[in-house]
Amino acid sequence: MALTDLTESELARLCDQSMRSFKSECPMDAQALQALLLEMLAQATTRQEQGYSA
Amino acid sequence: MTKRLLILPNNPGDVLMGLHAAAALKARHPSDSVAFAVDSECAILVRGNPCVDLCLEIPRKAIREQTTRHQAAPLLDAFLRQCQNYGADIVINLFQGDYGAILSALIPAARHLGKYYDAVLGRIVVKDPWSQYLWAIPAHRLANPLHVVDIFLRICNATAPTPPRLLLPAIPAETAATLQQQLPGHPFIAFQPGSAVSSKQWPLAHWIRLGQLLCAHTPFAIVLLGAPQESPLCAALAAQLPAHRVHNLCGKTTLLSVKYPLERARLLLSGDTFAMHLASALRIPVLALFGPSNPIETGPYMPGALVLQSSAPTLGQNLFDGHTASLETIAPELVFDVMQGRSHPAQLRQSYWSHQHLQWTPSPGTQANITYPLSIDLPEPSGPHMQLLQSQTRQIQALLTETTPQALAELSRREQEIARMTDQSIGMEMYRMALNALPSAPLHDHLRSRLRIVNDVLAVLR
Repeated sequence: MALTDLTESELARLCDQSMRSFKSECPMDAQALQALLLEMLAQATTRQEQGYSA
Repeated sequence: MTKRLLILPNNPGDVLMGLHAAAALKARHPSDSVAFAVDSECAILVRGNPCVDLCLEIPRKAIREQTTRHQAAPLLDAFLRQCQNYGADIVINLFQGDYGAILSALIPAARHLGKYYDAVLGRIVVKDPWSQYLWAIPAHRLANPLHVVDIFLRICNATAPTPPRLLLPAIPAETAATLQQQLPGHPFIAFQPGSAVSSKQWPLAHWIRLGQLLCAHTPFAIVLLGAPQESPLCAALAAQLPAHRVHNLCGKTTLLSVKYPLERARLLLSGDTFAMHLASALRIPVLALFGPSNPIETGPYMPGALVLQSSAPTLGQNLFDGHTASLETIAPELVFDVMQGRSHPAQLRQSYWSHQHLQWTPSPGTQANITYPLSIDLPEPSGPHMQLLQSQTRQIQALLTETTPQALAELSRREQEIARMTDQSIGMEMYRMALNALPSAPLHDHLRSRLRIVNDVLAVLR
């Protein structure tokens, strides 16, 4: 069966499987979020940086 | 006027697909504004693009190059202020990386579509149905009949009977002049042999064989394209072909200037790469070679492009989990025949540019069109409670294959008889009390005891 045949709740459940990559332990204010984003950006790399075609 | 801010930092092929959404939004809402947040390395595709009113460059590389976080913080702060000053009504995050969700959460707007970090819940959430659809794909990649661009258009609510052509910024005249000098003066075919993902790369020996066939049997020259890291690969290929027939531009073009040779090529032969997406956007004929990735999802988004696929990956496998639906099985002779229009093998597919899919309705949020049962294969459940459930299921299956069906049917008949006779009065109450007193026991024993009780109750009532 195609994904287009699934209900919204089924899609939400499958989507949730992909969303488990990141979870924090506690609520965050904007300042904490910004610090987190800074850390993530500092660690991310891209294919261009590695010199490849994407 | 509505202001929409798209977030799609990288990689270049994805950015191109995101630009299709920007083009569709511009076509649908000409007086509205579209901003596009993109990594500085891919900004060349967005800056000056006629589909985008404002390019917001994420200074990711500059941030990483700073020695300390203290030095990097002002760079991010300035970028975020730019985003916030834009005053978006709708933020549409199309990026798969987690930092897109955090970025989305830091830009105030009336609506946020796509992955969004809910700071109160402390996790990433996806609330709109089409983004949920997009992120359900990794769980069932082969169950998806829609191209990613078509899904992007739906997330943005910008579908149209014919998706508008993607426009790209112009390249400087001097760059064009330099590239012109390096191109052959007669018709040529462009090769993009490299790929960032090895499983998406056709073997070098196949490229060499195909190049030799083209040189021996056709008048075309061959132009090699690629990023700097792919130079050794292109050099090795060029070394095996007649020098006067091959023009190696690998490492000599940017993400944007590569459109100059592509626009002049008779055909691009490529794997699932940025060059393939760019040629599709430019409506250059494409023959794409696909291994483990799904051409329905990320194939050339244009009418008439051709895809040769080695074999389809199996359900649940994806590009990065070590699966190799090897491209080796696509023989160079087969590719040559297809290029000559002489062969139509089973692996040959038309582009999944999905005009027909655009007709698909309803949205996945429409409950009236639910189809049951859901026969999709879901991952095996796990955990102690699931093991218990599976164990019980096995017991029930065993019972059903033995004599129990008759017992169950008899039990059901007699329970209904009790209900009819007593009109839910004392007899049914007796039965329920007796059932509650039954000790926890294997299912076999439980059913036997229950049948004994129902018989006893019936005997009293009769």
